[in-house]
Amino acid sequence: MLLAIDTSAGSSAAVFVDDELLSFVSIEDPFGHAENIGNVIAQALGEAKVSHTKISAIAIGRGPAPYTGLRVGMATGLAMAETLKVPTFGVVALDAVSMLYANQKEFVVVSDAKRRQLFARSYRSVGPEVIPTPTSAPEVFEPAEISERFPGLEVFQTPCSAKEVGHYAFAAMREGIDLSDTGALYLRSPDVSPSAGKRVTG
Amino acid sequence: MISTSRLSATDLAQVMVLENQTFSEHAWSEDSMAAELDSPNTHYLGLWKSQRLIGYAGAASAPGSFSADIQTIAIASDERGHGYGRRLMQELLIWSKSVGAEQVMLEVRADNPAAIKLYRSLGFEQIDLRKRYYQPGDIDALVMRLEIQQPVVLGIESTCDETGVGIVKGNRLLANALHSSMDEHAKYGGVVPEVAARAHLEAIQPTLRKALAEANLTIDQVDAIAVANGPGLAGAVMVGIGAAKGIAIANDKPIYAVNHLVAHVGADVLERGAVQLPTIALLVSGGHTSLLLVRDLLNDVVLLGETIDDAAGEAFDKVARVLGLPYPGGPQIDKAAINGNPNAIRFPRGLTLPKDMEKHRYDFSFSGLKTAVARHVEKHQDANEEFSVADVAASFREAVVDVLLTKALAAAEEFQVPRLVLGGGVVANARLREEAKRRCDKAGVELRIPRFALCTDNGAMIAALGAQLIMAGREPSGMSFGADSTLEVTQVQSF
Amino acid sequence: MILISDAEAMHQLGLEISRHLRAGDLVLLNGPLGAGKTTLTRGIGEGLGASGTVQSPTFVLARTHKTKLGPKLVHVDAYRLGSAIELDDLDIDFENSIVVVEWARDYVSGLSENWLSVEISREAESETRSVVIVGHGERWQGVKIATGN
Repeated sequence: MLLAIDTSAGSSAAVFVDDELLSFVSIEDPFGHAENIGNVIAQALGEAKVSHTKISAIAIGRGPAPYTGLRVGMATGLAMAETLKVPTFGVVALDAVSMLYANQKEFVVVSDAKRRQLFARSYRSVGPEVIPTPTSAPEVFEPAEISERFPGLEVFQTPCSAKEVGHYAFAAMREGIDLSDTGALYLRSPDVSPSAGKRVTG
Repeated sequence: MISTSRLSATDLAQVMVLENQTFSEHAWSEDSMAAELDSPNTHYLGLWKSQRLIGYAGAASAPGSFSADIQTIAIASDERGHGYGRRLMQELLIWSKSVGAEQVMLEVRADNPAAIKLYRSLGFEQIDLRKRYYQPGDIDALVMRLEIQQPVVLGIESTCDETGVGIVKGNRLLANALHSSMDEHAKYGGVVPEVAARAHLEAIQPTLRKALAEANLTIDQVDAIAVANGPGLAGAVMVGIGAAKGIAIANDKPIYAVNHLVAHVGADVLERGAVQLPTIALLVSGGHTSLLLVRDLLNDVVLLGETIDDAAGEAFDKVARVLGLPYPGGPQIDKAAINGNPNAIRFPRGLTLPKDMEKHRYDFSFSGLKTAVARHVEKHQDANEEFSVADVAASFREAVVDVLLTKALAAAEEFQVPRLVLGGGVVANARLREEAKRRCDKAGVELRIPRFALCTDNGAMIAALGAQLIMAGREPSGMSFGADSTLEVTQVQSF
Repeated sequence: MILISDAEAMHQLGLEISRHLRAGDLVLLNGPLGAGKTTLTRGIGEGLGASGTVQSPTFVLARTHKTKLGPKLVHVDAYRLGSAIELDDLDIDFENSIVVVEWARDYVSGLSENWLSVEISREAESETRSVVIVGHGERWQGVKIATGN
């Protein structure tokens, strides 16, 4: 049984058995991840009528996404996997969403990066139910730059959730894509640089 | 109407009547009984039928012994056979558990089958026989023991820049694993919430692993999870909360959300095996400077005062910067202060003027001190004059230590609490420790400083506070609590 | 310009300012070390009925207080930051918060179209501060705060 967890937008959890979705619980609030994460997971397990003892793998959305919320789902998944001694699959949020558009030819998936910017990645479809091939690395853009950088491509802004994360994990397993990187995708370093001292007088 | 209540000196007369009736020539003297009732290490209960004392029982536990003894139990002869002995015993066992005892011992006369039956039914087993112990009559004494399983709690700390996972069993420390991101913060001159939070996420798995390995336990052997949900950096705290909730759900364990500052006070439990109360607590770190009066760790914690501007540790960092020293300021100031004269410059002690005593008696302010040091340095630099960094460092440090301890001891005096416990990273400062010892000795105040690993932020103190809550019978926190960056000390547990 | 004679007066000024604040507002405080920025913010906090003590957020960069008024009070200190702090990364719920930033001098551009600027200056060796309050943007058009003593 695969438990998928994602907090790139709201807080969500999904239970899968062999790529079949048994339950999906989501709270869309873009804040409140710490309050909600326990409840959505417990509820997802309850609705699927599956015990926590049956978890054999955990898939986590690793962003890119607003950092504070993103880390909650990741911390939850990583801690669960550590104590259950099961593998964790790290799923790039934009890639997970790209599967929804596998019927397109070439396209771009974007998501909110705060600071009035967007995370974006471009893809080329291979076929239905197959993971689209990424044709760029995930990056941060000003909204105006998107059409310049990806001329002619349709842009999709669909939030990621545990449902997409879980489906992507199964597809990746089928296609032999390595999901062992479970680090968060920040795409920016902390926006802080050392400062000079401040004077008191004058 | 039957009720039980804690006995005190005012009940002595009634107790002695029953004592003499029950034990005749073996009865304790009035002085002995008074001493027992008065001792801070005992718990005596009286059983009342309206105003009449019809029974009493007492237990004792020496702090740090992890063991309790049933001292005595007596029921009036005309009130036996109603299960009152069982009731008193059960309350004594609850108390024994709550003070961290891992075993309860008692002695019983071999010719008292009713009592022996009662104790066996409560789980006591005979472990020894003392022949001809009771005289006259050559009656043997059965030594009996009840083992108490204290809760094994795993605690998670992530309120600032240290990721801590600790494991305790009741009041016993089993593991204390830590990962610090202090090195990453050095170049920023202080803690950056985003840097800290990223480090917590990376550290959570290895720190969990380390703690369980150190305690030589599997997660199944853990009874409950505790996590600090504040006060502190919200983004950082949320990583710990996510991890804790995940572990709780994955392994079906109850979870307790606890207050980080109160946990600092409780850290002393792991040092001594018991909480010694009441106490004044002075918590000094980069992020906190708080003075607390603690009468009951779970029910009665009062914030007497705190900083109204910079925390003490922060003041060290800022002054270090003014003096051109790197971060973290504490150790750097200490180094610079070697051979410095602490009385060279009289820097201001914030909020110690008569006009401050009404509104800010136990509050702290280091902003004026920091400004005074900066002015001093700037004045000399602007005039191209030399000044002694050592003297400035030593004098600044002296001002901080002076105001911290003056107020802490004033509190001990005002509230008649002759006990001071220190906590927080600034406790690493040797001058603070040495001056605390000197002033406490002089004032007749007992000073408690846990070992350094328990003074700085750590997971073991979080686990310990969780254990205290469980041992007191508190319900778990449920799954809906969040991070509270300004959580008040009066809120020990969140739901 | 307002002349402030002591800490109590600075606190009162904060109270006065708080009466004009509502969710979504941004206050940028500037002044040298020890000028009284935190004292002013304490006054603002009291006026809003903020929970917890308003303290220097230098160590933690931002402190969030619940208020009786409704919106959260987010007290930010940009002291240690040398370049443009993007407050977004502190995950501040701007719409529902009143944000007060100390040492905000370098970060005005790009934060918002509307802000209230408070500049505190003091003469060397003097206890008196002078405070200049200017509103920027449509939000503060026609709003008068503490006009003179």
